Amino acid sequence: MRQTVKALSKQLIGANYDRAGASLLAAIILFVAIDTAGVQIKIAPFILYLTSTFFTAGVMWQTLTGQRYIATMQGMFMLPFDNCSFVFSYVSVLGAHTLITKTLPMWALLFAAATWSAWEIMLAVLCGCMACMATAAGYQMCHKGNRWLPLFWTVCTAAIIASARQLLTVLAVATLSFLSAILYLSFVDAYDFYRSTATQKPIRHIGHTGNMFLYLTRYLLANQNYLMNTVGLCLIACFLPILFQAFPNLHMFPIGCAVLSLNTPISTLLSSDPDLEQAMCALPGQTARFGWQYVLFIFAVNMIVASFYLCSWLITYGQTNFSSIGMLFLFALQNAVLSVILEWKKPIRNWKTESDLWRHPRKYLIPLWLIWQAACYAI
Amino acid sequence: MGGKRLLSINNLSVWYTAKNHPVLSGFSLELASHEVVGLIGLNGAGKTTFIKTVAGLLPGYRMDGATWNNHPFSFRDKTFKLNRYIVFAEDRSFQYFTFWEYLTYVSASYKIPLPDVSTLTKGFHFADYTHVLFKEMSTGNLKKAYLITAFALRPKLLLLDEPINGLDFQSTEFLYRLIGGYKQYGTILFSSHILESICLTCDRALVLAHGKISRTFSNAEIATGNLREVLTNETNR
Repeated sequence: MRQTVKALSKQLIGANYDRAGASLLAAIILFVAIDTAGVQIKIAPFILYLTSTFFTAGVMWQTLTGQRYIATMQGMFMLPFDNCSFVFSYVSVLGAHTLITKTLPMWALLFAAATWSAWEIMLAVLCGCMACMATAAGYQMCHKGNRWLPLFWTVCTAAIIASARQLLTVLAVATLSFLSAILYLSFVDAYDFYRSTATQKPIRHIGHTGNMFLYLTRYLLANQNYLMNTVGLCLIACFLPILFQAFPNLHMFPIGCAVLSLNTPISTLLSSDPDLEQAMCALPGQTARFGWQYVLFIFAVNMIVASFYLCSWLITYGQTNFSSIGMLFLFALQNAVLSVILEWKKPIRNWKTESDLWRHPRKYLIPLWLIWQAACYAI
Repeated sequence: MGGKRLLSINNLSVWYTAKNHPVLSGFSLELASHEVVGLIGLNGAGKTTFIKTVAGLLPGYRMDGATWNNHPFSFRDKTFKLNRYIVFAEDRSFQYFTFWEYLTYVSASYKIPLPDVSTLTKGFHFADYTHVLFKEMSTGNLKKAYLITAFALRPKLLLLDEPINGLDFQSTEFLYRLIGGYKQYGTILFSSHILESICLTCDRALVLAHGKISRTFSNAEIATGNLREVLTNETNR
């Protein structure tokens, strides 16, 4: 088990575990910065537990369903191994990677921004660990075709944490979920974590047009995570106007436009596919042929999300004006053009999992620029 | 080397991490038009590095000069790109295109009409896969897709990195015939570990060692025994 953990850890966290060090350093800097700034807000403990649980679960799910390191896993699965030992090594390393590189900075932010007792902090960490195990167990259940049980488990966990809110109740739920997940994982087949790419009969596409827009649409539809992210943004777009009712004195419409530009997956096409990036550099005339099509595609997706936002705004406030609609268009276009330029000139390299790609600091550059514009307009 | 000079590269150095650790150093090469040249060398010699540099993919390089059709050029010049096509050793690009869609897209990129590939798809036994997405193809079929595209475009310069890898026996034989017959259209430079492929098809064979071309074999000198001896000597150094 030790050798498997070591091999997997080096694969995900770096040969010298440098990514763990970098993440720890980032978390410390974030904590000190917020603590020094004296930012203090009141956060209910159940929010901390829910965030720890579902944020971690989301990242863990992304890592489990990612394709990036499947080729390297092939080599590990080829070797002889003890099934139970491999399952727990695999889940532990993925869980540690998730907690250290993704959840830790979020904890640093929350722990610095509010005052917590030692028990609350420990319970938040337990919720994170529970989320890793439960997500792996849920993944296995879905792999076997049983989608209702993990869904029921998720809803129950969320409902109990949100409604009970007592430390002991949350502790009991987290511990029970954690132990249940461990028990379930004790009996799974390690090979179920390996996904062959050839899982179904190839579909024939009769068309002859080499249209990049078609390519990008297939890309979006084939990657469910990317599609779910866009759908999620549409849902957020529906709720934003309702949230903005809390700020009646500020013109929040452009802020919403800027927030909705956080659609990372579709703007990391070249980063996520190094072979495609290589082909784009090698083939002639791709700045025009690929670049503009990519801009058009991101713009089209942005406008779909923006349409949901506009409709929700109209329902909530009953009115809007041409300048707001123009702003929607302008922000969507800016986001598309800047995303493609950034992706073309500075693609993200050396990422290990899809969640590394999605959470790269580069993703905040364009939203920050748009938020700055929106803030200037709002003020 | 007969024929008009097509490509000339003088004193090329290529590095990945630091200038003082180059993979290629003092690398010089001349290609004539309408010839087939093979590039051989041990693993890690720099064959793929050279091809990726010519493809314009690697930023860390320096050279005294390079000419294309006797005019100075850089690897990312549009004119040069329009006259060369590269088949990489490992390539899984355009996963969501079928072969036909890829061919249409690439033909438009090279500003040429859609070529007739019936002979090529038949020769590579690829006809059943032309409407399948690249992501659903095996390694060998994917290699065939890129090779068919390469020979259909007929650019002045074809760079093939380990083209034999992944191909079945019949496709390999067909590829040898295509490489040998390409001289009427342009020049091919291909890297290979299969000595037979070099001996059967090449006008010249270049041995890459210690970052540069260490030996050149032409015509009658290209024999399996000669090449094996040179490579064995390189291994023993």
